[in-house]
Amino acid sequence: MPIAPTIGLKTHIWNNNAKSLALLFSFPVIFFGMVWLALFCAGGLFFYGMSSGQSGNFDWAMFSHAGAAFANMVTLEYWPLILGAVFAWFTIAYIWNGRIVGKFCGAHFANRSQDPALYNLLETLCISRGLPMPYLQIIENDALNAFASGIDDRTYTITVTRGLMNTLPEDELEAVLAHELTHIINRDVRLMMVATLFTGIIGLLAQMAWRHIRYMRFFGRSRGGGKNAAAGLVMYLVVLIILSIGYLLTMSLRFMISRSREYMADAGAIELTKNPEAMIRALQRISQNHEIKTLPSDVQAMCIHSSNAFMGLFSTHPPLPIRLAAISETTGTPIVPLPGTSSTTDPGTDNASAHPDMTPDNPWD
Amino acid sequence: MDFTILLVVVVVAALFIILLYNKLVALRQTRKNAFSDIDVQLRQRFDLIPQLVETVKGYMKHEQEILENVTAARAGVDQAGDGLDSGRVKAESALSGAMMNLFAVAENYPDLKADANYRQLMAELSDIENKIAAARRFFNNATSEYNTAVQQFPANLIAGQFGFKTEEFFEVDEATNKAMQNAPDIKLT
Repeated sequence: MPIAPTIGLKTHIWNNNAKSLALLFSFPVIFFGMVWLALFCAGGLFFYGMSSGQSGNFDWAMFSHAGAAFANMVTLEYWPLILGAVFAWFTIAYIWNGRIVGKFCGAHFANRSQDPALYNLLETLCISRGLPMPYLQIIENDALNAFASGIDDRTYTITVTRGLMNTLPEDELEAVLAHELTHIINRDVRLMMVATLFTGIIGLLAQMAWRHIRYMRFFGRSRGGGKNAAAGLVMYLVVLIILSIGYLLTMSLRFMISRSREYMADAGAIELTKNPEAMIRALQRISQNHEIKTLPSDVQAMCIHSSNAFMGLFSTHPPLPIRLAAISETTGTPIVPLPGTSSTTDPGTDNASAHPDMTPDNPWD
Repeated sequence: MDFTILLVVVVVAALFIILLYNKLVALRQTRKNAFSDIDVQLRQRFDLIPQLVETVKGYMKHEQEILENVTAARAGVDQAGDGLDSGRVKAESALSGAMMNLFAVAENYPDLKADANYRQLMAELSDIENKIAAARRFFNNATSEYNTAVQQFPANLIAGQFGFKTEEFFEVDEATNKAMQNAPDIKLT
């Protein structure tokens, strides 16, 4: 059964804003915690290794004592440095977030003179809501996808692929743009960006540490010392703990980002365009060829459609049939399967009758 | 003691009035911004018309009065001024009507319809008409919200005092509205 959004739009926006703020404030705390834990392990290993030459079995009390002492000492001594690193990242992420995401996917800015049809579609949508125009970016890729990014009016960006522009008729392209614009209006985008750029970075650090440890362990084994191996194993386990904290964090972020936001964005898009049929067709078309292989998974979570990871449990998007059913049920629009393999046919030919304004003077024809 | 109670009542009342006042100001400002969105598009249309007339003139030798109507309607808009009043709305509607006439007649001139310049202008004008329609919708929503706020009970007591009054919608008559909605559908082939 379709899972209809159960909360109101205002509540949704308020929740998103509150979650973004909570994440922003928890970032320094989590960061400090991770640093302390890492220092704890390093210190414990180092001092334990120095003093435990005599006994063979592992003494946890001694290890933790040494580790805690070392971690406390270093954090007390260098907390301005850690805080500085946190704020440096805040500044970088805040100012450059648009560029960071753009760089990740190889997108470039679109302008009115080069892609007037796309630009005008978005501008008309913005005017109808009295919104400032977000930036518009294009990825030169044949896949069909689009996403929104940014954390405030200054940085909101909508990115579409060239394939989307070439394949979708005008009304479907408008539906996609409206969907992304609704993500911006609903502040889903801000939450995603804060989660990805601020808190997600910790998960990234954990992954880097993981790689480093595997590398070290490899060399440790090749030397083959008995005590070294034991110490290595302890370190291995401890890093595993840190890693799982980072992983849990990433997972909880996934859960924090409500999946009902996609239904709400679909609903908002239809409210903007008054054309549920085009939204349905657009989603059907996109689902046939939406994968941008070069896109990082964090960015894929922001896309208009992404496949279900791990049986839908951790997926960021609801499955397509349910989304289509929700649109169809609330608007009373029948779902018509796309004719044949129309996803690759020229929109000017098979849709010309349905879209009188798809005239040959479209810039991409 | 009585004095304290009085003071509290006065302070609460003052805070309430301040909040109401600020809300009304915000709504009025939204409406004003919405109007400037329409205004920008109307101006762009206004600026495109000489080009349009110039392009069409060469092809429509026998229907000069239709072109003259457009030019006259444009002059009417010029005279109606910058603000938003019924005069301006009427003038803009007249211009829309005259342009629709022109486009209808242009259907009989295959050479004109094939003209690259004309097609370019039509694409721009139909985009502008789309935007005017969108901006008008938002403006009327904003106006409706503002008018409601001004007329609702506690606000209506202070609205008059501070010079808030219900404002006009941007309404075009039904025929022009239909014609404007149809503008993008003009076949260019």
